[in-house]
Amino acid sequence: MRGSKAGAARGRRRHSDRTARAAAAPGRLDRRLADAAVVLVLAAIGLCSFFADPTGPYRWSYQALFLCLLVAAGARRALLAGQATAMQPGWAPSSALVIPAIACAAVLPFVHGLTIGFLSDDFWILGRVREAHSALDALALRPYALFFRPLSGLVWWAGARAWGAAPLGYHLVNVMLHAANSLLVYAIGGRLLGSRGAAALAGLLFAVHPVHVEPVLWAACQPDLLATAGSLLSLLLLEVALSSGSPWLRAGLVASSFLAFALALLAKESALALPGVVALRLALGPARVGRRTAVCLVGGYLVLAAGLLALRLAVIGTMGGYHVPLTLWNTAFPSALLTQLAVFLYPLNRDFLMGLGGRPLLAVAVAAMTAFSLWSVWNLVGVPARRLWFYLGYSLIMSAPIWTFATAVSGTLADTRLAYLPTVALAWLFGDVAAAGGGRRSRLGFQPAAALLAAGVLTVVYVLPWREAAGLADQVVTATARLTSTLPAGEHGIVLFIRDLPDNVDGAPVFRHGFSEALAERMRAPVEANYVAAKRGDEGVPSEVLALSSLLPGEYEVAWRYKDRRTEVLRAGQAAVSPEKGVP
Amino acid sequence: MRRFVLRVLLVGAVLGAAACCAAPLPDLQREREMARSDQQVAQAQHLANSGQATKAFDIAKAAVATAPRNPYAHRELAMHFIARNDIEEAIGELRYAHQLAPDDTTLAIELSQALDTKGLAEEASRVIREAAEASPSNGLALTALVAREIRAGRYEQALEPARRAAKLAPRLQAAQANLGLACLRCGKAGEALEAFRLAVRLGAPDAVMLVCAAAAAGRLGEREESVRYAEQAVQIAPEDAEAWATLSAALNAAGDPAGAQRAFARAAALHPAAASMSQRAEGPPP
Repeated sequence: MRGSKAGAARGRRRHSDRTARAAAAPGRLDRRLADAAVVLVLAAIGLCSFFADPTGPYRWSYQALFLCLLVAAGARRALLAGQATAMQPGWAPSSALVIPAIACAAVLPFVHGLTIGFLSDDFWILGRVREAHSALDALALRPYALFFRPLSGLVWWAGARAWGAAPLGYHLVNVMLHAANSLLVYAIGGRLLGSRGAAALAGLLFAVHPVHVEPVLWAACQPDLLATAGSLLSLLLLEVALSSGSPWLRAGLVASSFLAFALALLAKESALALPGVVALRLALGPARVGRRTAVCLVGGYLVLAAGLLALRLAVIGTMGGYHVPLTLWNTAFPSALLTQLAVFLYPLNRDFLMGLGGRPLLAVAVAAMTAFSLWSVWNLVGVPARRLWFYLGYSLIMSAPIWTFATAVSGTLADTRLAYLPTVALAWLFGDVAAAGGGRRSRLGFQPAAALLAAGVLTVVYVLPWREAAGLADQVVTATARLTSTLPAGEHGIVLFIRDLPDNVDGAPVFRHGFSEALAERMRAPVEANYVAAKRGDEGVPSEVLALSSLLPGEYEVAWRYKDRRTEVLRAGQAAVSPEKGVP
Repeated sequence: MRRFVLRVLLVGAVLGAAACCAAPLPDLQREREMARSDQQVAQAQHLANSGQATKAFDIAKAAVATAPRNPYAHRELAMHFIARNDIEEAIGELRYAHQLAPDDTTLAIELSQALDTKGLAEEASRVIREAAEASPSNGLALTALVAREIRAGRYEQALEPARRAAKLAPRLQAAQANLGLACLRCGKAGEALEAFRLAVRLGAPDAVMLVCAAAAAGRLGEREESVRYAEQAVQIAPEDAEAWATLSAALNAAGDPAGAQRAFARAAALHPAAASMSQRAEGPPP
């Protein structure tokens, strides 16, 4: 009797479990609706990638599409959450294999970009640090005039002492820093994600992702790499400290973490957001700590951040930086996060792809990115909610010090140096997504590997416009120096007007600051060069402007009137600089 | 309830994506029309340069029809009307182009020139003054304004803008020449001569500029320089009586009465009233 009662109770329990599961499990309609919504949103993004310029007036609509993607992916995840399976340990490659692989992935795609020479601000910074006779002088010179970045100035100064004006050394430093950062992404990922396979994928994705072309190849972006290295090292030391058993070792590791954070702050102010990330990590991360410890730790980081701000105020006199008016849309939320997602999932240099292979190549790239995005959203169901909130929170918080990010980052991948530190979390997210795909080797292998390969190839391709841009910079500087050299000796104060030179050729800023410095370097004499940079339009840079290098001696004023869509080349002033007459 | 909210979010995301996708379409269509119109403008310019004026005119009209809000299509059509001596139509097109692109100084200058040709001097002045005020750092607009003031004989008013134009566009020959002329007429021969010297160096000078430079140099007692400029003027414009008269005065001042006499005779042969011409550059406004 008792047995039959117990059996009935078990039966009732089983029935109620089944009912509860049935209630929690999504119906076929819900699943279809969720899948269809994600596919449609991704199709809309793919379609817009063909024509909507993320830098142009449709920036808001492109970003809003990624908001729609976030909403659809989040709703799908919530709807299908009942079907999530526990993550398997899955693929766990040996560190002895992963570390060299990540290092190679971070270095090899950029090897043929090492010879691109200097660009834009590089000339200015180099000119400034070469005036310094000692390390203290270098600190006082502040080569990044609007900012307080003494560590970066010091590294530049050391570079100038070590390899002078040879650009190779500066590029090597950047590539090595990038490799170190990719390894740090792997090391922290191993502790945060709980899966070595996922961490390895995150490290590889960070190493070869095209969004990192600018910070790695442009020597002036060294502060971003240094600040990222300091911030990630600080996080890693904190992670090790949290899992350490010995109190003395823990104290030492926390102190080292503070030191790494201080160095990151002295490299670039974008590291200022790290205390927020630490707070987030302590609240949501795997190893929990007591409230008091958490407050002490975050307080320590905040004190250091406040110290840097005070020091900066004392040295510069103002807070410095670019004065960008804040509006709802260009603040950290939602625009910066959405832009990060956009450039991470769709790093398409449309102009360049169109020039290289036309619409079919662009279509292939869009299809590959759409497939990668679809696969990522599909697997999102298996990623624990806490970690998702951590990734999103990290991306948002790390975007806070770079308010201009949302408006600056473009589809041509210019200004993506600002995304270098914030997109670390996206690399972890997609590594996690890969692991959540089931954890079985067969499911983990193909798709992310293909996506990584595609990203790597794109990285290599993206190097080419930068080489072209650097070549153009060199041509213009050489040509200008040549025609300026026709002036009689002792004549100074000649103002060279070169109006509307291109500032951006396929993502590479060429002329902004430093043109005068580059000329002076070449001429070994002061030359004042004025120019007005032009925006690159749909019809491209006129050949007349590009042909500046072929100007005859004596032609010193070139004007390109882009605004009226007509090209007009003014060549006034031949008599003034012709070698026969000279300047009386 | 939770499921209902999630379903609404999914449908909302799809609808939002569709709206975001469709939002830029009208602008993109307009852009495409503008690009097509620009191509037609370029084609019209090419045809006009190769002497096929009628065909170029038709294509310019087609460019306007393709993108009625393309200011440079209207400008191109206006140029064709000017070539056909239909100034009124040209002014209409230029007015509309200027309205569409009010920041474009070149369009303002061209409209002002067309208005001037039609005798609408007041409106021409207003257009160019507005352009110069709208872009105070644009040397080209300021130079055009100065040219208008000089043409209207308002040398005192022209002097300050001329100085600013010459500073903003130090390598623009017209800016320096205008400054020289304004200074000369305001009795500032030293400043005028400096400006003329620079203007002459900046490019191939015309006879009027050289005559004025010679006058300024003569007034300052720079006799050799005055003779040199006047000789260059008669070389460039051998049929210009005023240039010969200026050379005559310069040679006379330099102590070459025989040469002065020969130059005067040439001037008198070219124009009976040559005797007073050498004074014109320094005299009251024409």
